Amino acid sequence: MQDRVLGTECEFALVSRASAGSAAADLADEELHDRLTGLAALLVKVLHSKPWPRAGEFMANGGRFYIDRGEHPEYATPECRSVRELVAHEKAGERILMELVSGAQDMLAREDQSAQLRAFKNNGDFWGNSYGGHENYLVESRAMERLADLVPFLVTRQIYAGAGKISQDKPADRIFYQLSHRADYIDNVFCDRTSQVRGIINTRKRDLPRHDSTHRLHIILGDSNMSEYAIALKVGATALVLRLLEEGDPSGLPELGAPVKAVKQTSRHLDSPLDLAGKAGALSALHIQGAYLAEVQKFFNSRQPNAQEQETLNLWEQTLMGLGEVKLSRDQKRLEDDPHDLRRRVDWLLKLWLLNRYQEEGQGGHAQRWPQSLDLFYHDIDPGRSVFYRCQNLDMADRLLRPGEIRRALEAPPQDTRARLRGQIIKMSKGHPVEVLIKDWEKVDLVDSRGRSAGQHFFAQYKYMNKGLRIKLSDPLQAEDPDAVERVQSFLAELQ
Amino acid sequence: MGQMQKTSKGKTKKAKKKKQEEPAPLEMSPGQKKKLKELDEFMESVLSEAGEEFLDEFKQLEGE
Repeated sequence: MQDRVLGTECEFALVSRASAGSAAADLADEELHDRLTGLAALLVKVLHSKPWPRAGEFMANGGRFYIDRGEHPEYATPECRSVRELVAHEKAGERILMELVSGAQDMLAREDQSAQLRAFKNNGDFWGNSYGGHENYLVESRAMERLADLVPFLVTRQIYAGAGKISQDKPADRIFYQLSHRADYIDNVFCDRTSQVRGIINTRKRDLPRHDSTHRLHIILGDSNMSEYAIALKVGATALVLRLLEEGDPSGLPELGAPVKAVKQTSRHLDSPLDLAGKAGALSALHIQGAYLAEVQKFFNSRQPNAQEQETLNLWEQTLMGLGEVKLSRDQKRLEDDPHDLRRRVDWLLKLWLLNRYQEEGQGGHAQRWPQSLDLFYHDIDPGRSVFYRCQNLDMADRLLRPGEIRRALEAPPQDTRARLRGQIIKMSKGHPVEVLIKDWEKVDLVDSRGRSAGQHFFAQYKYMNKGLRIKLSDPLQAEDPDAVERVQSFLAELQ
Repeated sequence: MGQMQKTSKGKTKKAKKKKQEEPAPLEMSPGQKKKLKELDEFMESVLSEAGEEFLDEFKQLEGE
């Protein structure tokens, strides 16, 4: 499937700091819950005060902002077909949240001048709590039946898609460096849960076949990336392997003996030998990625890749080649050589380089836990405080996107998926006496809101008492529907 | 990191190890040196401003 729909969902961490009150670490779970609920509510309040056209959680750019489990603000991109556009929309989500955090910070400061609110795009705190960076792919049935063949690829792609993490062994308190944030939170190969127990592949939503026998593949193994290139390669390479499974007949894909163990092994050491199923010997993550790349290249010997696929193939090949020459110390605490400057594109390499540099320059003496602090501040979404964004601004991290692409993604939905139609209806309805209700990605309801005062709670039965219109968006690839647009226009005209 | 935590209090005066992954300081252009200095100062200011206690505020609830 070349016309694949792609999307990501990023859960963020909110942190507040005030001059009075207990530190979050000293709060009981319920108190922490109350504090984070209050912060999340502030964000929603700011969102409601913005003049942005939207319908509930859905924005006019087709994306969705909401508060998810654990009071984590979450941004789900609209349905995208281009990897590049997906990267722009994921980054637009960071900017939307930053705008809300800034507004909430102003509110907090009115009560306490020293109050601070910050948001981080990572996947875990230092207390053992994790939150996700999920991916969604529209997939044909043939690939869904062969998902076991995808597992070794997903296990090992952290060598370029990992965000890097400072970890601590308990009770020894030994601090070490991992490639991946999420590796330690993966418990099964397949699992239908997304919290407490997690799988490499989430099966909760995969059994929802679409009208044309395509499915939604939900992957919750990955890290949230700061690097634009890392997002693009993570999603782009996964889409290529999915196409291989849908249309090809690969014979050389490795099978891991213990995939969950291999996720953790690779995270702890780039060169870990990973046991293969049913045969002697072991392969490193790099070799396994190389085997997948070779199969995809073979697949394209008899087919013409489109421009996006070719771009991803080149990037994947260059990255694996570069990783082959990366040298780490035995304990994975030092980046000893990076001749292809991959740290400019791979988050875990850049973070490790920063940690090494900070230490070598003799800094860090003021705090015992500075490695954790540096790890955390890498992921701050505030460009003025984020270590990653400072690297990007100093031209120490490569950018994939051109100027203006993120700004455009803030307002405009992708023009080649149903997100376009969703955004169009939201924008058309602005200024009309109509309530736009979007409960999920597959439909939009318009309800006459005349006679209801602003801010009045919208009761479900109200929908049935008043005139309404439902537009179905069941085909994610359908960007235009002149009939639906005409019906919306007529409906709005009748309300005038 | 264990090794990192052994950093002495205050500014260390230990000899700096040669970094293989980037040009030696003498080979760097003035622009590169300036950027690295700016990066170092930025990291120092961000960490100093937040203080170690910021980590105690960074406790989350389990998400998905």
